[in-house]
Amino acid sequence: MKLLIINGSPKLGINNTSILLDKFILGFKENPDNTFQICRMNTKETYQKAVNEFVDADNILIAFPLYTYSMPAGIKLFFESLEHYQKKCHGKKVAFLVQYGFVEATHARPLEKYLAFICKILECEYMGTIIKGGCDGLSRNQIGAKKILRGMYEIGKSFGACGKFDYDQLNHYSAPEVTKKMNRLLVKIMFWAINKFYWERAFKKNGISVKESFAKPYGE
Amino acid sequence: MKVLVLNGNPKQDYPEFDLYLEQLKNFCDEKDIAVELILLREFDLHNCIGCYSCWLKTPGICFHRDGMELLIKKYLAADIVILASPIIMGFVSSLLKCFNDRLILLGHPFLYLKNDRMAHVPRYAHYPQTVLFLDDPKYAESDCFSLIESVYQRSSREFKKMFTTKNNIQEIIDEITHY
Repeated sequence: MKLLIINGSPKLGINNTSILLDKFILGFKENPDNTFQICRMNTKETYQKAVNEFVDADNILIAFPLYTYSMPAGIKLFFESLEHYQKKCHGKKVAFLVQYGFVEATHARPLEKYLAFICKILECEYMGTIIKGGCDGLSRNQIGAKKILRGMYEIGKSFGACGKFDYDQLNHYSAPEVTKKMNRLLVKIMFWAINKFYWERAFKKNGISVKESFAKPYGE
Repeated sequence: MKVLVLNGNPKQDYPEFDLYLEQLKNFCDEKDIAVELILLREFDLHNCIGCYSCWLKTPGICFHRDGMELLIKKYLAADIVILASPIIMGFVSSLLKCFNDRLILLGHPFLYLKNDRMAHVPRYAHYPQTVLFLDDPKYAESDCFSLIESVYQRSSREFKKMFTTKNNIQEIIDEITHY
C-alpha cells in the first residue's frame, strides 16, 4: 500500500502527533510492499499543498490532536478546502488518528462520528479512527509512554499487513472509555499526582507559582 | 443582561446569514436588551498552536496578541454568548472553531473529575451561558446537528442549546433572556 500521511498538528516544533506517527510508520513498514509519504500541514500555505496531495492519493491517514473535543481549526479549514470535492472522492480510503491529553476515549467519540460523516459527503471509504488519550507530554517522556508507543507500532503493523484496521485492536488501544469503573479515591489520587508532579513541575520550570498559575487577567 | 453575538460566517458571499444576525440584533435593540454583534472575519485571529504559553508562561494570556484579548474581555463580560456559524462541511466554520480553540486560556491545566471523565479546572468563577446558532444545512438528511451539539455540550462551559435560522427570532430571544 502507498499511504499519504497528513500530520495536522498545529504545533510549530516537536509534536505528540508525529511521535505517534513515527511508531505507526515503523509498524507499517514491516510489510516491505508498503510505501508512505508525509505531508506536514500547519500553515495557510501547507493546507493547500495538503489538499493537492489528498486529491492525488488513494490511501490517506490524517492525524491530529483533539482541540476542544473536535478537530483543530486548521484541520477544519482543510476540510472546508475539500468542499469542491464532495461526492468526487470515489475509490479513496481515508483513516484518522486523533490523540489528546485526557485519558478517556469518550472525549473523541463525537468527533469520530464526524470523521465518518466527512467521508460520507466526500464519498470516500472511511477506514476508521485510532483514538488515543493520555498522550500529553509524549515528547518529554517517551519512556513513561512505552505502552502507548508500542500499541501504535502494533496498530501500524496490522494496518500495514492487512490494509485495514482491526477494530477490536483499536477499541482495546483506546480504553478506558470513561473512568467510571475506577475507584473514586484512586482517581482522586491520580489527578492529585498529575497536578502535583506534572503541572506544578511545569509551572516551576517556567518560574510560575501555583498562585500565579491561577491568574485572572481579564477580571474575576 | 448583556448579549454578545459572535458571527463566525467566513463567507462574504453569504450575506443572508449576516443579515439574519443583524435582524436579531435589531430585535434586541428594540427590546432594550444590551447586545453587541461582532463579525469574527474582521479579525485576523491566529489558530491556537498548542504552545501552552497561556497555561505555563503567561497564565490566562495567549501568546498571540491579535485582538483576541478584546474578544475574551467581551466574552467574560457577557451574560449570554451566541456562537453563530453557517454549517460548512458538516460542522461550524473554521473561523468559529478558531475562536473556540483559543478559549483554552479560560481553563487551568489542573484536572478534576466531572461526569466520570477528566476536565480542566475553570480559571474564572463565572462564564456566560452559551448557545449555538447555525444555518440550515445543505445536508438536511444528515445528523450533523446532533454531532455539533454533542461536541459543544462537552467543550463549551454553560452550553445551553442550539438554534438555527429556522427558529423565530422572538422565540430565541425570549428563551435566552430567561436563562
